[in-house]
Amino acid sequence: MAKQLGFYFDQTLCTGCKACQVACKDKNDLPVGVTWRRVAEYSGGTWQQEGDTFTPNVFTYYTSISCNHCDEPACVQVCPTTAMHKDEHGIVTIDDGKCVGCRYCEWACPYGAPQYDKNAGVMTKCDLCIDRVNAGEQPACVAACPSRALEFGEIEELRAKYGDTAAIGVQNARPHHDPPQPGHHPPPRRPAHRPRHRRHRQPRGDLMNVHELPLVAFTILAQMSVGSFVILGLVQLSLVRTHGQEAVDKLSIPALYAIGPAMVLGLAGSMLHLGDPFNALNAINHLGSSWLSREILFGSAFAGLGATFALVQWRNWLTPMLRQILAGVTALVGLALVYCMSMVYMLPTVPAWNHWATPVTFFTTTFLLGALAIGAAFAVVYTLRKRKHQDDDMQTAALLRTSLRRIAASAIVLLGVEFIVLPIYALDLATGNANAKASAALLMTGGGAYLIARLVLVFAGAGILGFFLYRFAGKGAERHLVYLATTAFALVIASETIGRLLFYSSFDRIGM
Amino acid sequence: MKWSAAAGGAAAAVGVGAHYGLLPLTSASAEPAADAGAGEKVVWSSCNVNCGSRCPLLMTVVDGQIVRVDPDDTGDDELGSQQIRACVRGRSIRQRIYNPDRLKHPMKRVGKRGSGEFEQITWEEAYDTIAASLKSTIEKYGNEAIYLNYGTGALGGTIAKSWPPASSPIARLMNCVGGYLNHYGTYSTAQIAAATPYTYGAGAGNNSFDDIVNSKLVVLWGNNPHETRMSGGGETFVTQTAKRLSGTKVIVIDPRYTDTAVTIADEWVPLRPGTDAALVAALAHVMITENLHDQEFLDTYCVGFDEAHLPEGAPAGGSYHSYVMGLGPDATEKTPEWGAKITGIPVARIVQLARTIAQAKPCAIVQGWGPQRHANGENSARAVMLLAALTGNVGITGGGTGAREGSYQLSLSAFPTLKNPVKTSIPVFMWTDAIERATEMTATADGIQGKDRLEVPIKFIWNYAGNALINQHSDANRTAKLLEDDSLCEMIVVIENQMTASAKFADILLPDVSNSEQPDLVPQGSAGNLGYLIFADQVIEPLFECRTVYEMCTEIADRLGVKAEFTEGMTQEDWLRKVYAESQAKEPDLPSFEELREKGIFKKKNPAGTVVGLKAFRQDPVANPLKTPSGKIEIYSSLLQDLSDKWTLPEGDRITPLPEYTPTWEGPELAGTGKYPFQMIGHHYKSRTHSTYGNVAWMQEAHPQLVWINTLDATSLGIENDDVVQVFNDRGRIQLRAHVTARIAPGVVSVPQGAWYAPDKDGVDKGGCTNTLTSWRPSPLAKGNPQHTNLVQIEKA
Repeated sequence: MAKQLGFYFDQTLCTGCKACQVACKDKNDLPVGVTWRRVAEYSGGTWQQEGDTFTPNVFTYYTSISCNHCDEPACVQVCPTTAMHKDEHGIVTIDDGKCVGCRYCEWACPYGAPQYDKNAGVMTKCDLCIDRVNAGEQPACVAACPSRALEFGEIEELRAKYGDTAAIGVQNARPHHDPPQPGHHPPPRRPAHRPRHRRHRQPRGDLMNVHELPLVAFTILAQMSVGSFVILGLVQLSLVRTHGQEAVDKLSIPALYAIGPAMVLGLAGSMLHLGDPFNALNAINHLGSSWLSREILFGSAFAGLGATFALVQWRNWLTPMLRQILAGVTALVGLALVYCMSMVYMLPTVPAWNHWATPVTFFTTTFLLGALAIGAAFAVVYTLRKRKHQDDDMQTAALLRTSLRRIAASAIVLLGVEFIVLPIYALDLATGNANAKASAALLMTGGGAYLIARLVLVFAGAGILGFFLYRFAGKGAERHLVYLATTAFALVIASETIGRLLFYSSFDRIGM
Repeated sequence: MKWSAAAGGAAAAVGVGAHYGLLPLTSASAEPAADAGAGEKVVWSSCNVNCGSRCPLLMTVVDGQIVRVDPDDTGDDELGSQQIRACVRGRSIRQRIYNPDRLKHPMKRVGKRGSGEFEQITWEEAYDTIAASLKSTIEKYGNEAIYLNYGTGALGGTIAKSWPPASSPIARLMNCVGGYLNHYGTYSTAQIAAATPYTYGAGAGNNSFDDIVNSKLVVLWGNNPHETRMSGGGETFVTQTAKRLSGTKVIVIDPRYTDTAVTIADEWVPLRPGTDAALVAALAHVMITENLHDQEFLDTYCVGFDEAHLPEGAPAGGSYHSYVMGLGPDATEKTPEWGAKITGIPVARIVQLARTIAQAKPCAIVQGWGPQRHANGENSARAVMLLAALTGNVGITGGGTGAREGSYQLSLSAFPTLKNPVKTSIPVFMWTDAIERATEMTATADGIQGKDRLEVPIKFIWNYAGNALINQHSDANRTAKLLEDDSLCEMIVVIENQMTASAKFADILLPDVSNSEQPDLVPQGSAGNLGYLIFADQVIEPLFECRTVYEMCTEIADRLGVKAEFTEGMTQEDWLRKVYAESQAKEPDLPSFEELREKGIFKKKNPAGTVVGLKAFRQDPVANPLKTPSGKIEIYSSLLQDLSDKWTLPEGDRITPLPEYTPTWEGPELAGTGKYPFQMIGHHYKSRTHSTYGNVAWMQEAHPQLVWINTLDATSLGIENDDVVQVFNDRGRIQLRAHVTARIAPGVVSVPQGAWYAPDKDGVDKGGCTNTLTSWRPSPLAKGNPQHTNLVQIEKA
């Protein structure tokens, strides 16, 4: 087993010139936008003005990082396909025969090491110039540095030479500064400025984070499908006894058949997120450590089980009891899917997502959209049947009213949950670290117009229309119900979509 | 129901098929390893730009294409034998050589000059046109109407050398047919080069940076090696290594907290741009008052410090001591309070700085070229040198003269360019005036040398490897307007690699090869105590229809009937052998031509140890006098007093025998209020070497063009980091993003120089070129470029 290789970087020598960055680009023919070694400027401080004179208290450091080839790489842990792995030299490297370009590793690494190459559709990263190393040469960056700030070698030897803290900080640096002079103060603890390295941020005010539209579609549609399936299950369990199987079937079966396409559409949409979708089957290789793998597994399982259930239902195969068990398993798998989806986002590197609000709002969305989708579906199916068959089915009408009342009540409760959770979440972000604050600012894009629209729409749909739906379902004219139910659903799905867009747009990763 | 199953099934089938290789994969791993070893060769080349350094580049060639660039593979990390690691810019050179903007064919202008509208022509037509134009210009106006413009894009070579213009193949060509109008000075050093001889006489330099291991204190005064001498074998390496070896204390005096300050400064003293002479006067006041100055040195080696040592003819009260103590004609004492008001440095800091400098024995005061590039730059430069004299540091190990750092250089021969029969020479910065109002220009009003006045305007410009036609000269909009009028300057020939702003103003545009497409001997840059010479061989065949400048000149010489005189029957490589043989006579350690070609580089450590400027003078001022009238250091220069009497200066300009602080137009006194409250300077930027590398994608990505603005100023203007802003004054308007930082003094903004001038249809320069905002008005003595003296306003776009 070969020894772990690594880098030593002497920050006291770095002038921020980026010869290391460009040498790497030259050696690896990297395009603009793919930067395997990045140099960040970290500076801040204050000025004191007294009359016509000024006194600075300013500090500046540069940090050059490619990949730290970590002992426990976050990128390896989250990679769904095991494309990202550590080789025998401890170099973290990518098997691009497996990589699907999902970019999850990019979210998980605080150093920005995994770099997406949009022409190739896969992730790329520092490979410690293993070809040069094998030829007895140094990595291109180390060989390039005009200030000799970079060294490379066996990490144990570097640690023996320079100290064993694998941190980014002034550690056993070659001392050559005099003790601080008056007028030269040690840097303040709380920096005024964050490390500045020009990552490819979305432009300010651009809510339409187009890269993540596939994920918005996927998560919304998948959550809605799961929620709908669970609600249908609840309708089966609680309303068959009181309203009869026939009435329940008349409304639920068309709704059931609509869930399938929604789920498949969502899964297909998620493939659009991938740079290299032909490798997609690899995405379940890493169930042992990657929530993304698990999400894909449960997502595919839910789709498969749901399709099976729909088939079984249509053909009347199996016994009702077995069908019920199948439905129950499908629902549980669906809930597990939503759980895995939310856990994907619980990354320590993204404060905006790494908050309990994520699973809570994912589940809230699941049930809110599921309930209102079923409500709209029931109302539409009922109305169409009535027009077509013109039978005055009292049972079905009563079922419609009961289910809509319960759906409306649930919607109002879930709205309440959202209106409690979102302010707490927003406050936590606004009072969090610099990245959390940046995410909070992104949420307020366009003066907060999108956030306000999201809240207004869900209040109008689930709150106001939900209230009227509840009233009318109890004691109002039947013909209004379909308009109320469909409009409520439309408003809320618009709101949830904006909310999900905001979720992705508020992304701000710590580190470089 | 069927849809969901069908859709799901289809997706699954496709996925499975791809996974098991039944469908084509879009895998990125299909490329074979590029550096297989076989079928590739490595050739020594170099980067030849005006960076003050000079780096070899080892180029790996596969199938006639450069695929990779590596640094010098000789040497170590020791002073005098260092490995010369190329800077970030040289590492990106493939994107210069293979840039999509690379000029491919000879072209002639169609449409208005400056519009960039060209049509392709043959080389024959190009040569014919140029030769005919030369002939008719000489016939109609004489050789003095032909001007070789300043251009430093290719100054590293021996044959393909663009600077000084008098050393270029163009000069040799012109000298075969009667000569050309020359210029003196450079855009880098106009003021300091003109002023230094009045203090130290001609040929004076400073100690080399490797000497700072012997210093108790180093004062880098407007000197920023880590951004102006970026080679990892040049002064960046030397200063960092010397600092590491000795732990010498370093103070940086600069309006910016430069990258030099970041890594080697122990203290940073920010000041308002252009106030250097005021700081020196205030420091002198402290030293004089506290008796910290080196009176013995001043008595022995200098004239003009005090009344007792004034030169003949100097008026009473004319000494520097009188100036500082308020006993001179301006009756103003240059107290620290006086200095604080002007420079922005608090009184206590000035006092402390004076004591620190005076008490450090020895102290190396090393100025850069920022302070001198102002409207009062001559006096700033002389003032900093005066400080070295005041503290007795001149001519000793560990000390210095206050000039720019010196360095060890091999003695090498140059490509002979014959003699220029024309003796007239204009200041480097005044060529626009020489187009516009030549016959008004005189020796005493405009610095004309070799003649009392100009008799003909410039009618023909050779612009070889330079971007000072438009980009690097001041007041770009005004310059563009001047050049657009082809009845004034009638012919502009541009020899260039890329379609620069200057190239757009050509009448005939000739595509030059890069230095990797021809063989050349490439002498060293400034590297402390290391001397070296690179054999930059031809790496690849010339691209497109590009040709070497030597070939261009040969063909034109042919049409002028002077081919034999120009070539002496030799090819470019013949000339290299000839010049090298002469160099070998001067530098016997040089290997054979073949050996140097194979090895790529010759290195030699300074056999004398470190360079010490004016060492002999310090050892024995009587036996080794300076080339000044008194033979001594002239703090008071009677020659300057003469000039002041004789010359006609515009209102507000002053030439003074002492290095007084002279407030100027658009100076700090006028900043703070009014239409244009910010002082604007234009620092040298890691992204480019001046304007070279300005169109290289990797460099634009690594170091985008940004205007530096202080955090306090930005807040008051509502500007946040990365905001798009406009910087403007009466001369023009530029647009670029803001770099809001605490690393620049309040009241000062800096637009890194060299960005490519690119005015849009409304005249807003979207390239962010600093020279859209600078002024044609020259400095008083050198008639040099005051490109750091500007007032501007800045606002969110």
